[in-house]
Amino acid sequence: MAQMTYREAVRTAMAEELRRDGRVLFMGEDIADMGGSQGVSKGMLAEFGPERIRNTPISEEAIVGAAVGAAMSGLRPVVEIMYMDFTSMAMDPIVGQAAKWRYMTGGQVTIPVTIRTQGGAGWQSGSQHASMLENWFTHIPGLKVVMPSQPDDARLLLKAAIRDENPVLFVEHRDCYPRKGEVGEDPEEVGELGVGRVLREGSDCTVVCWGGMPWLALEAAETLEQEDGISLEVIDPRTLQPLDLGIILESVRKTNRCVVAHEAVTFGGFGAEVAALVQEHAFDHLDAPVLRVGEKWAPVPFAPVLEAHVVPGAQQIIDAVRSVAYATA
Amino acid sequence: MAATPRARTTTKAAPTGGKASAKKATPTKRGSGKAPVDDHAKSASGRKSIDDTAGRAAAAAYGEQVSFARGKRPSDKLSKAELVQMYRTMVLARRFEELVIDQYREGNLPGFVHVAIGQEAIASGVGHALGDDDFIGSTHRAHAHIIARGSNVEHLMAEMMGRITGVCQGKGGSMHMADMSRNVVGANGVVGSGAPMMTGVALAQKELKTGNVAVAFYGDGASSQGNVHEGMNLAQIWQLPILFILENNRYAESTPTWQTVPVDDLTVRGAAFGMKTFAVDGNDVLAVYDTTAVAAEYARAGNGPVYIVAETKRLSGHYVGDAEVYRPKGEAKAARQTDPIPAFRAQLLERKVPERDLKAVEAEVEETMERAVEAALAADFPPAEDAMKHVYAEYPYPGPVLGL
Repeated sequence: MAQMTYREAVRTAMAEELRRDGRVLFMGEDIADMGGSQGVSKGMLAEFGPERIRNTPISEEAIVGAAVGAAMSGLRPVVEIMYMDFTSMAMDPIVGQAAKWRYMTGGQVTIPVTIRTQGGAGWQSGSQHASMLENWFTHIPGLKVVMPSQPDDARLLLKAAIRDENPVLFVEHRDCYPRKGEVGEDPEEVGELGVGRVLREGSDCTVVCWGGMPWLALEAAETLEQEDGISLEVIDPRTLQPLDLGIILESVRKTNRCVVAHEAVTFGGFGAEVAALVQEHAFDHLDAPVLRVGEKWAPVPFAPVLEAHVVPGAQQIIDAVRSVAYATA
Repeated sequence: MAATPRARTTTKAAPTGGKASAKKATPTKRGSGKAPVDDHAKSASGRKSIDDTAGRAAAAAYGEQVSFARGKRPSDKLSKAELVQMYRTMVLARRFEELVIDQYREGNLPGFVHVAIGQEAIASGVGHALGDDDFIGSTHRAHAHIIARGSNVEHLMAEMMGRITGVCQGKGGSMHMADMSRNVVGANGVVGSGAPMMTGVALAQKELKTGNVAVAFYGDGASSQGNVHEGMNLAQIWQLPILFILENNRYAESTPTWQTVPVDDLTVRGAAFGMKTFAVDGNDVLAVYDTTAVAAEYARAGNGPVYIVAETKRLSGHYVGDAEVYRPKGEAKAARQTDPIPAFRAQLLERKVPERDLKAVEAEVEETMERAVEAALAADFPPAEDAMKHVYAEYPYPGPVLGL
């Protein structure tokens, strides 16, 4: 095991897969000499060369479209879309092509392509560089969506995504990059998509959260423990599509309360899907309505005070948990 | 790479990537006399439409037609049997689509259908010039392209009818037909999206050193899509083995090209990427064959992509049932005069191909297609639960969505 940041874990995963499989290549904007806008691929050009670490034009539709074509004819491309907002520039190749090609051809091809992207508010990057849009993609049959919060999961699940035969959207929250954790070193070790993780065991309320939110939920858990005596169980599904519903239901049946927290806008978000599934499958176990925590109904603003008003923090999780626990601080 | 635009190179002397004399992009020459404009084609805005009968003239005026010394055309090497095969491909594609129209009208063909009647020379010329292992990606008007790659017409017809014996087991239909056994990556229902996709297929050919080329077909309508421009840009930067083949039938669905494209001569768009560019009369199957052969050799040798503008005419509506109210009177009738199939037939007779050989092919196609329709009609529809297969590589899918 080695201590490394989430950023290093992502890089390690890509490097291990590039070393392991000559069909893997990595392409995106500014990923080569610069090492990516978030520094994730720093140093990779030197090891793998420009054929496998391919700088591209600012051309998301072509980058993903070409990756899809390459994936169906023998390569296993990993693509970086610099900000999640920019996936809107590649919606046709992701949604119209990658997700459907295997289906439309009656299974004649597989599309082993991994689309990495990152986003998240809190950096005053304004409305066009801060959105979390995972629910756009969890809604598309044919896509898998992976969104781990922990460094070790980032490594193991990115490796799993690259080895997966389907198009996988791998979403990194910007807040996670500097977070550190123990990460394994066996290059053959690989994670499993669709398996959630209990990040903190508790008995009074379940918080289902992903992306950057688990870190905030863990903070919230400490506060609630100390101030309210509420014991929070924190579940990170890690993969949203396929979703590990079992781990969520098991927890809710134990705690009888559930809050779903994501950074994306609350209304119509993936949290609504989780809430619906929980009430459908564990209605009799619930002592309170399932509450959702997410962004208010506005684009992410620029000014720090405005941004903080729209984007949920640990306090919003605390408030929601107190509400379902019928507790007042 | 490509710092100096190698724009609009001519290949009069050395067709295979030899130093070509750089010719400056010729500005629009509408009404210059080289591309005569029909009076009937005047629009409401007062702007005259691009002449609809001037594919050949337009190519001569603006594009670079691959030309050869006498006896040096790649098609000169084709045997009579091979020429007859090219003719068969055209007749087969035509008959396939005529029957598709019939079956559609009889209610045996669900959805909606785009036919390429009149454009078979491009499909056949390209199809026969490619190697067996080369890849093609097509458009919503794909039947002829796929047939020209040798796909089984019985399975194609069954696909059109949504049958289990269809090439995609009834999941694709007309607009999403693919046949990987013939390296047909697929038709595409999104206009222009084949361009970046085939760029990726070409990237795989380069990386895996297969020596194969990829072909992206698209139309004049798609030529205004960002995906086509982005694909061409990326392919040129990476010098990928791909041919971008623009079939200019002068209509984007119902809208004439002159309303949507600000240049008369679509070859000039190759200049934007410094891309090797050819123009060809897309109704002349041997010219298409020659141009494609030269282009494929160029791309295969690692010289980068080639852009080909093939002028043609759609002898049918955008879709089966299209009343074509947008077409100037007399245009469709005039277009029929340039039907590539009778033209090629006459050419073959001139080349002393015995007429009985052509008649034999025509009869065989008739029989083949009759059998294909019968077999398709007799085939089962897929079981309803097949709808849940092929969503992912795994089946059943491990997520909760399928269990609900």
